[in-house]
Amino acid sequence: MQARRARVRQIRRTVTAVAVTVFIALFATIYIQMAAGKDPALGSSTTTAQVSETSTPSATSTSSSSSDDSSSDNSSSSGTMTTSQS
Amino acid sequence: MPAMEEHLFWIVSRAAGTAALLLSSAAVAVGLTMGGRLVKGRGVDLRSAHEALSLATLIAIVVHAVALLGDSFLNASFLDVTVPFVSGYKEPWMSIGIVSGWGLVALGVSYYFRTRIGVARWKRLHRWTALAWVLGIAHSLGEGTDAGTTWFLALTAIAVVPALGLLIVRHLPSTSTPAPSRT
Repeated sequence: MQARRARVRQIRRTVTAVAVTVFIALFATIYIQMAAGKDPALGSSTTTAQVSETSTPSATSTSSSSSDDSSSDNSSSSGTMTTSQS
Repeated sequence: MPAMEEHLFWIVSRAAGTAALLLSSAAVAVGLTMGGRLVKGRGVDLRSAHEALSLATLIAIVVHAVALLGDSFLNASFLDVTVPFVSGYKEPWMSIGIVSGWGLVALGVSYYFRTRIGVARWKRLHRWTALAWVLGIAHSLGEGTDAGTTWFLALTAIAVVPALGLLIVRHLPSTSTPAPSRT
C-alpha cells in the first residue's frame, strides 16, 4: 500500500514536470520565433519602425504576410507601423 | 524586432493551447490503452498517469483562455472566451474551441462525482471525452496561429496520430468470430 502510494506520487510528479517543461519549451519556441521576425502572424520579412512625419504615404506601405487577420492589428496596437522597407 | 512585452499574454495563450493539445492527446492515449486493456498489470500506473495528464490538460486550457483576457489586441471579455459565438472572432473555430474546452472540463471533473452519477452512467458519459478532444484538434488546426508551422504540425502528428489510432481500433467492430460450438 505504501509502495503504491509512493508510485502514484512519483507518476504525478513526473507528469507535472513534463507538463511544465513542455509549456516552457513551447513558450520559448514561440518567443524566439517572434523575436527573430519569423512569427506566422506578425510576418516574416517585416521590421517595426516608427513612422516619421517626413515619410511620404507612397514611401511607406503596410504589409502582412500572414493569413491570420490578427497580424496587422497586433502591430498597429503598439503604436508603430509595420513596413516592408527598412 | 517586435515589442515582445506587448505580446506576452498572446505567447502564453499560444503555448498553453499547444500544451493542452499535447497533454490531452497523451491523456486520451493512456485512457484508451487502459480501457482497452492493452497493457497487462499496470492498471494503477496508467490510471494515475491518465488522471495527472487530464488535470494538467485542464490547467493548460484555463491558462489558454485566461491569458487571452490580457491580450491587448484581442481585448476579449470573459464572455468572449467562455460562451460560444459571442466574440465573433474567427468563427466557427473559436466556438468549437470553447465547446471543446467546456466539454473536457465537465467530463474531466465528472470523474470526482462518478459515485454520485453512477459508475456505469459515468463510463458512458466519459466516452464523449474523445469527441471533445477531436473538437480541440479541429480548433487548433483551424484557428491556431502556429497551425501552419512545421514544428506545430510535427508535434501535433506525434501526439495525435497514436491516440487517434487507438480510438479507431477501439471503435472498430470486433472481427473475432465466435468459437464453434461443440456437438
